[in-house]
Parts: sequence; structure tokens; C-alpha cells
Amino acid sequence: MTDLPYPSLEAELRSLAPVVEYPRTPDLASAVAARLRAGRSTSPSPAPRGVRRPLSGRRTGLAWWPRVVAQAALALLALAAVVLIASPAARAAVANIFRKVPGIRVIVGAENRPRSAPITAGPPSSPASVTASETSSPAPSGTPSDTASASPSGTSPSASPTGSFSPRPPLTKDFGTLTTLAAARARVPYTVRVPASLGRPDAVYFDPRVGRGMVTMRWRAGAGLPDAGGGAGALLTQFDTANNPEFPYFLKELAGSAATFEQAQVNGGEGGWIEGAHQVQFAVPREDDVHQVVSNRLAANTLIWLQDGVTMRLETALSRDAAVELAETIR
Amino acid sequence: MEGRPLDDSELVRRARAGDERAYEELVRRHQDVAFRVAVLISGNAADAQDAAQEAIVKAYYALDRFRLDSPFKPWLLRIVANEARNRRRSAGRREKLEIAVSAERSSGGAAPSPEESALALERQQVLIGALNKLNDADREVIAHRYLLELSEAETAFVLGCRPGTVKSRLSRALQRLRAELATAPGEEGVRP
Repeated sequence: MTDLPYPSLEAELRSLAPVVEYPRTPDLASAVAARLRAGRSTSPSPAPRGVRRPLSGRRTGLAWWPRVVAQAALALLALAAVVLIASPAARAAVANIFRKVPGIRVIVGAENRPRSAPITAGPPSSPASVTASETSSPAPSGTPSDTASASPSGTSPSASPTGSFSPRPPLTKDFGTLTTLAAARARVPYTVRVPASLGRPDAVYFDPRVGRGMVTMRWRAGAGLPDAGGGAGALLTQFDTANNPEFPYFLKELAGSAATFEQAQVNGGEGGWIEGAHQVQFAVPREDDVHQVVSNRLAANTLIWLQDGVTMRLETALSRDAAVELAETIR
Repeated sequence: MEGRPLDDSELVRRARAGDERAYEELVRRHQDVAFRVAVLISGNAADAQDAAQEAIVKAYYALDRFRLDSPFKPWLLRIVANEARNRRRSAGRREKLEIAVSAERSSGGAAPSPEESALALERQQVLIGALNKLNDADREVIAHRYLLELSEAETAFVLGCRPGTVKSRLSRALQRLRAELATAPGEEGVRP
């Protein structure tokens, strides 16, 4: 650090600070304020996102990601952008945050609320479980044949018009490391539950950073369980947030997308149903209590609820009724 | 917001309670550095604007995660940096920003600051040239620490690593910068 010829390299670098030329700062404060007032809506940039100029070939640095992965990610990003800007620009709606399920926040715009009665479900209390106003397709919509990519919206008539894009398959980084059900059970202080209708999971993940430990089970797509992305038919995540009840591990953004949201009662606990592909940001606290974003991905239809103090999150390509039916078999 | 300006944490408190104007004021205070962090990572102004704006909106909805007894600026910058980095990676972009010094100011137009006069334009250019040759990670840590004038702790926070890691990353980056400078053409002209 002390070798010549730049003995005071740090000081010289500091002296550059006032003379470095940056593009002019846009008025972000006003733009953001306008977006918040409009209930979060459209593409922030003046130029449409889809028409970015192509990359000039002059940079030849090594890619950080393998090309294929990067391209797949790019495709998803482009689709996500399309969803964002395809929604009507003028929305008088004000975004809301749903926070009844600990560890999960759902940002909901008025455009995300379906015009249907809230659903209630669960064997303990309500036998007339589901009040489906628009959707009455009780059978699991899993035509096991194909429909892999049309999954999130192709399952029910009231589905959001998210078209035919499939959520990114969840990666290990979204859920922690691969383990076994027995090992995961041994590591958490709460009861890990399995849906009787699905039987043993095909894969189990564990992430110690979420609450008092997060367990995620994955079942392959198959008969009655359509592909929700990457060959997964169902993902069930559970964690208990007793040690950090305020931390939002999952931030689900619906505002700006065509996904819909409704509150739900599942197995006697507060919950919600998100239909349509939506962005999920997954973050964990670091030792200094700051959130660290671990992953961003598009998720499929998701049921979230609190069951005996444990946050449950079930992601599938099923219809609402079928997802609730599945959730009711969780013991 | 009349009279004595409110401090950041008071503005955060108000923003949390749903006061969007308070958040707007808070953003206005930090938008310059936020945008520059995004520019340094994104490599161009358009992507930086998208990333910064998206991040600032996300930060608003994530204000619950903010601890009131900690400084707001690095928290915001970190979200901006994450967003810019995620977008850049997702898009597989390789574009890199050429850092440049502004000609009119550095050539010492009206009244050069002491710092400016301390370092001749040519010397600045050589230094910038060497900086631009470094890899992304090295440039990033040097730019945050010295060009954006963040403290070591803030740099660590924004880049998502431990302070000790920033120290060692910086020291390695400076070593490589020295190596670049040693091979820079016209180097003898700028030796102290």
C-alpha cells in the first residue's frame, strides 16, 4: 500500500470526487412521489423499456452468468416489464400493504382486487368453505397433458390476463439448501406439516435465516398438479417468525401487474390468495438487522396463511378452489 | 416542513405513517448520490434512472424494514445498488461506464478548488484512465469509497459485505490500480 509512484493514491482519488462527471440527476423525488400518489403504476423511464438500444459489441468482459442463464433471465425480465407497462397508466388507486401473515407483505393496488367476496375455507370452522363468486371450477384444473407455461392464468376463468408467461423456476437460493424432511424437522421448533393429498415431497429445502428456520417442500408437476414453473407442481414453504415478527422476508408486489389479490381464511387462520404471476422479493436479515435481498423471482398462484402460528405459503398453478382444497389436507 | 429542517429519521417516521410528502423530501436529499450509485453500477443513465426510481419506490414499501436508529442514506443506497445490480445481471449487460472528469471544471476555469489545483488535469486523466481499466468489482469499491465519498462502513453496507471485507477489497483494488498506473503511457510525465 505504500509503494510509489502514487504515495497518496487515496487522497488523489478523493480529490477526483468533485470533478467526476455524472449524467444529470433526474428529479427522482417528484417522479417517485407521483408514482406513489398514482398507486404505483407505470414504467418509470421516459423511453419504453422494450426498446433499449442493443448492446454495443465493444465490451468484451467475461459474462458473470453463463449466457443461457442470462438469456433466460432476460426473457423473464422482458416479460415482467411488459406486464408492468401493459397495465393502464391512469390508475386512481392507492396501493395498500397486506400484512396479516407474519413475514410476508403483499403490495396491492386497487387494480389487483378482484370483484368477489372474500373467501373462507378450512375444516374447523366453515363447512361452506369457499364462496366463489366468479370462479366455480371446483376440480383441480390440472390437465396433466401439457399447459406447462400457461399455468398461472390458465387455471380459472377469473384469472388475471397475464397471458402465457411462466414464472421462473425456483432455485436453491430462493429456499436454502437441499435437505431431507427428517433433518429439516429436527432443526425447527415448530411442527412441519405436510399436505396429506400430496404425500412425500420430491425435495426439501432448509433456510436457517428465515424466522426460526424455513422449510420448503417441492412436488413435481403431475396429474392434478399442473406445472407452476420449472417442472414444479407445488411449493409449500413454512416458517415461524416468533423471533423476528416484524421482518418482511417475502415482499410480493402485485401493484403494476395483472395479478389479483383477495383475503382468505385458511384452516382457521388469516390469509390471502394471489392469482397470477407476480414478483416476489425474498430478503433475510443480516447480523446488523439490515435486510439483504437474496432473490427476486416471478411466482405463480399463491395461497398464504397463518396456521397455528406458522406462516404457510403454497405456490401452485392451481385454481383458488383447488389450492384451498389442497391446503385443507395440510396437517 | 417549515423552519428547521427535520432530520432523516423524523421524515422516515412520517413516511411510515403514510406521509408521502415526507418521503419525497427524504428522497430529494439523497437523490444525487442514489442516482450516481445506480449510474456506476448500471453503466448508463437510462438504466440508472429506472433502477434508482424502482428502488426508491420499493424502499418506500419496505420502510418497515428500516431501523429508525440507523442512518437512512446507506440503507437507501443499498436498495438502489441491489436493484441496479439485479437488473444489470438479469439483462446480461456488459456495458461499463467510462468515468470521466468534467472538462470545464477540472481545467480550472474560474476558480479551481484547492483539490482541483492540487492535481493537474493530465494527472487526473491518467488516474481515471487506469481506474476505467479495472474490473467491475474493483471499480465499484473504489468508486463508492472515494468518488462517492462514502465511509468505509457505508461502502460495506451498500455493497452488502462486512467492513473488514471492504478494507481488504479496497486494498487489493488499490494495488491493482497502482499496477495499472505503473504501466500507463505517459506515466513518467505524472510522477510526483
